[in-house]
Amino acid sequence: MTTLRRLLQWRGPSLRGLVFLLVGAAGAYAAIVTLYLTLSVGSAAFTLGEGTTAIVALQDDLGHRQALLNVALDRCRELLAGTRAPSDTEVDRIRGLIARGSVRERAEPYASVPAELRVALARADEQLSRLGNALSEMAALIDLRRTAEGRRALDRVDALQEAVETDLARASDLARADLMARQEALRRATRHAVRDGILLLAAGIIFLPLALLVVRRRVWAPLARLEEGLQHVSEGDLTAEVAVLSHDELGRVATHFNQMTRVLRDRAEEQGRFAAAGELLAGVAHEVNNPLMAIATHAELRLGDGDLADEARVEMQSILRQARRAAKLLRGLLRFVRAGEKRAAHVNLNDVVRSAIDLVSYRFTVDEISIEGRLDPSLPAVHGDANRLEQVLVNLLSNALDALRGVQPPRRLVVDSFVDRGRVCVAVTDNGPGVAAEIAERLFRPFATTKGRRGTGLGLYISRQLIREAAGDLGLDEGQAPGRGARFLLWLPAAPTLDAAPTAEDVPAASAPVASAPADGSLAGIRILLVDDEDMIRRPMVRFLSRRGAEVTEASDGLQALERLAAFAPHVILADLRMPKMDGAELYARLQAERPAMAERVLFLSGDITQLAGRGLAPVPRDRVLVKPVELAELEQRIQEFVRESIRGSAGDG
Amino acid sequence: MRASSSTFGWGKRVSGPESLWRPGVYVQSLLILLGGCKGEPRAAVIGYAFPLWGTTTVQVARDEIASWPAGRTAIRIVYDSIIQGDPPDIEVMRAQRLAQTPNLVGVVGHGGSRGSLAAAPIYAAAGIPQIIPTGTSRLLRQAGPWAFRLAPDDSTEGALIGRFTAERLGARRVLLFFTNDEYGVGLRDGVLAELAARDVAVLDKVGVDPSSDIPTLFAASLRRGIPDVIVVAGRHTETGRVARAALGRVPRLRVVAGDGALLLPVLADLAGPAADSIYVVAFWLPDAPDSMSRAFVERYRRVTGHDPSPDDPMNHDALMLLAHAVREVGPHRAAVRAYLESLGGTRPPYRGITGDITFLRARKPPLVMARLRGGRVVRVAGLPVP
Repeated sequence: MTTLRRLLQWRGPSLRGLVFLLVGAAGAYAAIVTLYLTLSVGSAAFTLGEGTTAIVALQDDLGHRQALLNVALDRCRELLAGTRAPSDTEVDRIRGLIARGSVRERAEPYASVPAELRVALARADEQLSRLGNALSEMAALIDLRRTAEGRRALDRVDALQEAVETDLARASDLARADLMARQEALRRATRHAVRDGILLLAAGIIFLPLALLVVRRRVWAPLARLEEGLQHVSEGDLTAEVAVLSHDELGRVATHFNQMTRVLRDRAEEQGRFAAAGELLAGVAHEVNNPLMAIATHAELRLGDGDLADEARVEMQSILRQARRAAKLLRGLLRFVRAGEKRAAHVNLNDVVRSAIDLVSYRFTVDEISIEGRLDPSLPAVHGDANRLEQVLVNLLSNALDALRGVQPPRRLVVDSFVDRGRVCVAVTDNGPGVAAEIAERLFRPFATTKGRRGTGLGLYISRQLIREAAGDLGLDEGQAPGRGARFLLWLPAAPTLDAAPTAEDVPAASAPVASAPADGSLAGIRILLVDDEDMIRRPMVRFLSRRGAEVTEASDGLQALERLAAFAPHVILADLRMPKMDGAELYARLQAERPAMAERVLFLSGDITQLAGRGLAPVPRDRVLVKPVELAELEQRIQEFVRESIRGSAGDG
Repeated sequence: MRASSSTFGWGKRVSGPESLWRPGVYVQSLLILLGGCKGEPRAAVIGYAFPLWGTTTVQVARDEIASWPAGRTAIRIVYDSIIQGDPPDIEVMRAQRLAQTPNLVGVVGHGGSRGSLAAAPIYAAAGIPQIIPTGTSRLLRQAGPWAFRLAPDDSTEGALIGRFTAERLGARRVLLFFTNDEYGVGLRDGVLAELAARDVAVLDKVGVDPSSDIPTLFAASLRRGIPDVIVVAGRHTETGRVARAALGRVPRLRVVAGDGALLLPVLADLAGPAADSIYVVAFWLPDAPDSMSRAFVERYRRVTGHDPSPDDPMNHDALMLLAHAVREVGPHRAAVRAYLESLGGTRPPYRGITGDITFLRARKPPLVMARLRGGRVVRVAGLPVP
């Protein structure tokens, strides 16, 4: 019953089985045809050939010997009929003929001839020997000149010769009949083979369409559907699904394909959400930068008042510090969200580590996590994109923080940087639950996540790819004892230069001023056109710049700026990039077209440097962009440098 | 009876009354045993392809085989008792009949080179090993991979005869008689080659057979000179009649003949008073001192009541070699053939009465020279074997 049930549920052979069956059937068909033809025709042909060879060889031997003995007999007859005495030479010649004709010179294949013929040939062989012996006697009689006895012996010899001829004739008849029979057998076998060959061919022709139909249904059609699905996916349509119409290998491939596209769809949606969140975050960060700059600028201005009370000074300093901290966090966030194009340079990994820690530091207090570690102060530089390296470190730190949530305090996060065998290394260690062995082996594969639907499964995979692009590697330190936390180690080759990359603390001071430039710390004599739509940013900046001795004119957008420029020739135009009516990029483009010399005097202010490329914005020189919130001292310094360089160059049209 | 699942036959577990499966297993095992035994012959047959009068050796071989401990395969020796005679067509028919014998694993025979040559292709086609005990024709080399020759070929024997004739008997002129068959012609050529190398003149070469007029032929050949020695490359009939015809016509008559002539007492009877002038080649003599020869002579006497002839040990060695082969490798023709081919290679040579037997290379020829004395053969001492 179970067998019957299984039989009813059987859905046919698998694809492998089907291919095997078809190939086997084709092979069996070819083998059967070949074997049949070989056996039926080949066998008869072989029999004919072999038999013919043996029979002809035997008969040739007998015939040759008979001929020799006949010649000897003829000689004897001549000598007996003659009157002269034979010479010794003649007798020896006769004896030589007799000796050669009496016996075979080589073994002959009796086996290939039929029994009756075999016996007949052997009998003829024996008769030839007897004939030879009788001729020997006759030769002796001739030699002894006993001619009369020799003539009498002729009768016996003639009788023997007749017997030989009779036996040979009989053997010839039998041989002929046998050969004819074999030939007929070959002819018959050939006829049968032709007939059967046609039948087999017809059978093959009948089964060919059937086989094609099966192949079409089980192989071609499913492959065509798969191909169509793959084409849709390659064109970007992740909703493509392939119909699963069988349970064989191709059916399973189709099922896996559908699962794969489903996963890709989910991941793409997640990526889209992340991208949208990133865009939103960037927009919000940009909007937050303006008030932060306003706060920082006001605080700086207040701190610049000499009559500020100590308590108020402390408060202003705190306000300024927090505003700068908030700005730094926002910048880091923006950098992380928008990696942008790759820019490789000499990078100090310690700086990257610090930036990454800053980005995730908000979780330390909330999750009661202590951060420890030692960053090697003499760490050599590496060559890479700082943003991408920061992305990797943030990923490692985030993973560690997530893991630490799963254990009871104390929760420790250790970050070390060091040099090991010429490689620059950073290790991120936690005392979380660790990574199970079965997870560890697929940890760096795409879509491998331990965070369920919260994780994309791409973090470690992408991180490793980024590090490997920089000629390094990232891996899990398998030396950690199970359940004793996890340690991820990344390493990069040290950059070719001998000195360590300059850290943030090592940035040298600005170059020395050029002759006839304004004095350090003073903007006296410099005319500045400040273009910004945010009143709360414009006013404190005007106040600061004016205090530093600059002559400042304001505009709230690009159009107004152009109006001002008709009557005002500034040394520097400070323009915000994002403004209504005409933004900074458009203003720059107009100036480039109409007043190129004036365009060379533009410095830009931007709340989001990652938005400089794309989105239809005209390209602006990046080295002239100041990222908000700008520290006033930095603003002053940049303006001084800019003016110096402008003076060094050709004069504008003013 | 409560049903239970149990192992049955090939290991499939089926449910059923427990009392039924045990007999089923026994029946099944018995069927397998019988079925497995069905294709395995319980007896191996060795054919002896000689006429009835030449089958005395078979009794001795059967006696020896019967003395062996019982083995897996019973060995029988059979011979064709219906077809008698020697001509090649008779040998062909005998070979055909023997080849159809059930369980036949090998054949000893046939008597003589011509018969062996005629029969060899039949055995080769059937895949039956054939041991040729006394055939010496060089044509037997072309008889195929299933034919195994024990005796040295005619060139070796002919060289022995030629050397003996030239060195021991000091012959300078020789008269040569030969039978017009493969044996006689082959031996003749071997003798001629050796005599030529020693510058011994051959006055005449005369073809004879048992029915030839020997006196006439002898008289004709004497016209060419009086020989020192007469060599007969033939059988007992020709040899005896040549010796008798030569007596009184050749001073100090000495006749040297090949192994085919040694058939006593027929040879002595035919030669008459000339018998004691005959020297003859033998494969073995009854006075051989080694233990195997002694044991063979004793057994032969006990079984048959008389002494063995010089040819008997070769036939006996051939029979016992096949029997040993069957005992070693089983009753399979191909295995027996492989066994024979391996002697002296992967296996040591077979120790026979006539010496160590191997087919991989020329064995030390079991040839001795004897002379007739009072109707018996006496070993000629100190004869170097070429």
